[in-house]
Amino acid sequence: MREGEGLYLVDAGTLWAKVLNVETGERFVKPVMEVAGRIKAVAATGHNAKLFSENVVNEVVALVAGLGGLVKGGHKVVCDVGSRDTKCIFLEDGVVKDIRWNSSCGASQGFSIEVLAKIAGVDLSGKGIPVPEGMIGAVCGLLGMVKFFDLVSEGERPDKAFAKFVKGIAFNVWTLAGKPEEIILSGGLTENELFVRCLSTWCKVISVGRFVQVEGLCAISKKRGWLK
Amino acid sequence: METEGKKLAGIYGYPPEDIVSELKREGFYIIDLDVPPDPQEIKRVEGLVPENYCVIIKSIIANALLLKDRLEVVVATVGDDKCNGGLFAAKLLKRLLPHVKVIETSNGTKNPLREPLISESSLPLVRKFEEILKYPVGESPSLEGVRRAEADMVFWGVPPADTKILETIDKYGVVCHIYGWTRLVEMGIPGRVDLELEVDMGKPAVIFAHSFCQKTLWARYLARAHPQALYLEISDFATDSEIAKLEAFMELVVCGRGKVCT
Repeated sequence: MREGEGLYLVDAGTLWAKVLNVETGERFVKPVMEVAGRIKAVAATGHNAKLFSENVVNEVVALVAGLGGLVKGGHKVVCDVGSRDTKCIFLEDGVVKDIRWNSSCGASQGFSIEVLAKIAGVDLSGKGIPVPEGMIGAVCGLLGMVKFFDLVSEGERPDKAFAKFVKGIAFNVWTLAGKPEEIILSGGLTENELFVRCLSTWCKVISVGRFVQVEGLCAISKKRGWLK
Repeated sequence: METEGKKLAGIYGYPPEDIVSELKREGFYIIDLDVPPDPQEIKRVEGLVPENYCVIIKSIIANALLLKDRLEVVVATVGDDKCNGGLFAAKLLKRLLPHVKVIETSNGTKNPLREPLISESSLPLVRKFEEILKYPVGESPSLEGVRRAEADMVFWGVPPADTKILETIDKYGVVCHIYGWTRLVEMGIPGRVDLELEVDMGKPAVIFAHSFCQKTLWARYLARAHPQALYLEISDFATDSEIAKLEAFMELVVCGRGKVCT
């Protein structure tokens, strides 16, 4: 990546920047602080959007714009689970009816999973870790971490305690979403196989990956004349 | 400073109007202790008040201590018209400021004194709250040209400590009716909890409460029961995430997908 060159769109989350080079089509994900100051974007969304561009789009607006035809037809629930917060968007025939966003209590889900994966010595993707029977029930990632350490000190294997933690997070997301039969899942946790398998315990999961906001940002940027 | 040389009486909540009128007749300048002071001053009382506590009660204690050398009276509402926190704040102020006369009272007015004209007008939300909050300190809001207007959305709750929440809603140029305790203040019936529970279920709603406030129990229920409501719980001053959440609701639900109202 050469500094400053190219037309970029950035979804600058709390920890990770999802970057699209509009000219080459190249996409990459890097720590946001590694990229900030090195790229000037045409437009940006996300918590750290202002570090990249003056053209800022609300991240939920970008997400809805990026979902397109996926959310047409009846009642749909979209959950975006990131490092810091979880957003659930409720749509009827493609029109947003309601938003639930855990920005404080009930938050820090993705961040907590990253920290505990390192402590437990497991692959962050959760690859190969089976869905556990039980789970750690805690309203927020930080409180869940306390229970993780309690389990380990009682003799539970760290990878099993980790799996229970992830399942608890998945349950929280399903609850925030109103316990639906199907969730359209976006955000960093789409890349955590264990999280997706845990969530699938209770509902059908349609994973749309981490670049939906960037795709939405692209559509909005064209509409607003920032991109030709 | 406008209070220079004047006798000061602090109030919190919406005390009975005759008590405030009497104090004004005696030459007191009435100060609303509910209004949050500088964040630094709130931080200073965190040795006395738990850190995880209602920002409004913390503001009451912080303001009273800031004014301690000039404050002669505090009129403390301690009933259903305020909250249990108001009661304990009164007890604490009696200990901390023994030279101050702390009057515990409750505004039990049952029948509305006024229609909710400001709450249901087309005034910007920031201005609505400014005008309504003149009533507790014994002043009259400016009602010239104020007319009822059809609502685009509603706001339920107490006056937010952070006016940025109201400014964010005002950015979209919508007509926002007020429900909850603030509406009751305008109507002169702050203790009518039965009416406080209500909100218009037919318009998109922002349901607001401060963290650690007992009203969050009802607010959260109301937001889930309402077909189109954003539950907004803020501890003191809104974070970027919380403002982004509000903006997303305004753009996508109140104004229509991807469309800004003004």
